[in-house]
Amino acid sequence: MTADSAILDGKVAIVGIGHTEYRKRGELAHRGTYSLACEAIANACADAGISPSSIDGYSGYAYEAVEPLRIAAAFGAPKLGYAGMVWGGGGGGVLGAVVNASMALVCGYADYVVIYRSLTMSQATGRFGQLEVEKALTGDLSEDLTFSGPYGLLSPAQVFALNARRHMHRYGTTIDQLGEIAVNARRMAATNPDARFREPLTLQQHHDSRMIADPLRLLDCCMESDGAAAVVLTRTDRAADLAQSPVYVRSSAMGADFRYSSRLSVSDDDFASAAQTSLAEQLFARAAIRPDDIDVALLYDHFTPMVLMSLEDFGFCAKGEGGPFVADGQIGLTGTLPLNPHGGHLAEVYLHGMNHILEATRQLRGTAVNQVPSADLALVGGAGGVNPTTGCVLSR
Amino acid sequence: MSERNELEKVPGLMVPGLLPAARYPLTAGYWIAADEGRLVIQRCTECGTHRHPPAPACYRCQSFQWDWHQVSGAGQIFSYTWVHAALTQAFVATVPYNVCVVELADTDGVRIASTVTGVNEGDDLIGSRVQGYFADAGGGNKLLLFAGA
Repeated sequence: MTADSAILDGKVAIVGIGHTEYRKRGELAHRGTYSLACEAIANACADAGISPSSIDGYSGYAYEAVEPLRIAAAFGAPKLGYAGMVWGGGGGGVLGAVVNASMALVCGYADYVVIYRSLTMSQATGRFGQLEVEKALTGDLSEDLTFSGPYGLLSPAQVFALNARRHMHRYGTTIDQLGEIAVNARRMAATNPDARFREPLTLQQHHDSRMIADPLRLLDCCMESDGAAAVVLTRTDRAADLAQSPVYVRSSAMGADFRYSSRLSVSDDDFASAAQTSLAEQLFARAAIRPDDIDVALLYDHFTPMVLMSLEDFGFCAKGEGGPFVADGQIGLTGTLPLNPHGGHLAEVYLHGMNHILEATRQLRGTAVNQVPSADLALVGGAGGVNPTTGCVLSR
Repeated sequence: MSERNELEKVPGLMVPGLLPAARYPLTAGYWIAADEGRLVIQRCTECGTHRHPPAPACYRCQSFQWDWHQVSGAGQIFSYTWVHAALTQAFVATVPYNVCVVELADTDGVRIASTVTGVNEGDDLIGSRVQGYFADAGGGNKLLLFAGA
């Protein structure tokens, strides 16, 4: 590992977070993604104590609906210093936006960079979980997907079910263990007034939920949502004068473990994984820390088995031990690794990882509803099992 | 490989947009061979490494030289899912259906997605030996399926 932690470490901070209300998919469609994005960004700027017209950098990731210049126009921002986008990977790229924002700030291209996501998932505006289905129905399957689409292998749930099944086969991972991740999310969300799903969940309810793509049941899947969220980053020399205690970016990285021409033909270890081992190496090396230094983990929970495999890839437990790790209560608020104390995508809202950055920031400020005592270091992981996958380590 | 008519068991085939289109330069050769009932996999002619789906260069030696290598269609199931939630009306009649990842013999661990016919949900499929065959998918297309070997 040749990463030089000195380049970014301590030089960039999250100084503002904001979001809109979180609702079921389609329920905010009447407001539109443009208005939602602007509301979330205005809230993040108010939190930071700056005017939204001060934003001069925009860092996005795949599938963002609202282009930066529309936001600049709405707020009358006089300067545009940076606008960049992480390619591909959907929610896998979310922390790649932190990578790009950090580079823009440290290199002096911008003073205040915003990362945002705005979603309305009505049938009219398109649903994230069905992107490939819509393409298929219009005869617009990409080159590679002509080899899977005809078999009805199109949605993320269907694809990740294949990884999950292999993990179960190799390591004896059980439905109960997958269910623990869903139960944990609901337990956390019970005290979160912003969360969409606050009712407690039993393992039996998880088992009884309808099958989507075996072994994934409905309650193994995050629920498509409407809403927007934003974070504002700046250099630490500016951060000291703002309204909130800065949350520092200790490291950020992009990675990819699915090699060669097909994710299906990777090594057995990579197949039964979240494709985040090389990402984890970079993140921890750049921050000069180890997995057990992390106080709270915000891992992308699009599907429960991907969380379980992320825990292994990031080294919180040994390969194949993710099942026993979650079943032993290690991911609860009093466990060795509190996981997604806001309820995550599974229970708070599915906002493509943005709500995980917001929660990591609250945890390190000490203002979270389910506060981990003395949280100094947080890991935020983007969606596992996609290319690219990304992450960051944050500190107070 | 022989042909069988088991269309009614295969999801997606009745959806025109899902038909495999032989319109991409890199993949057309696969579908042309499929029409003749032959399974071909891209192979680097410099180092002999197979790759799928097709890519312009070899991931192992970076050569741009390649050909289509006909393989037997024998393989083993590596992983699978049974899809229960029909994503569109077109799939309602076919759920639950399986999608299997088949590791092909005669290749360097190339795995492809397909559907295995003649199996039941609840069967322990991983490791099962299967044999590929082509079924008529309509619209002039043939589609690779697998059955127990």
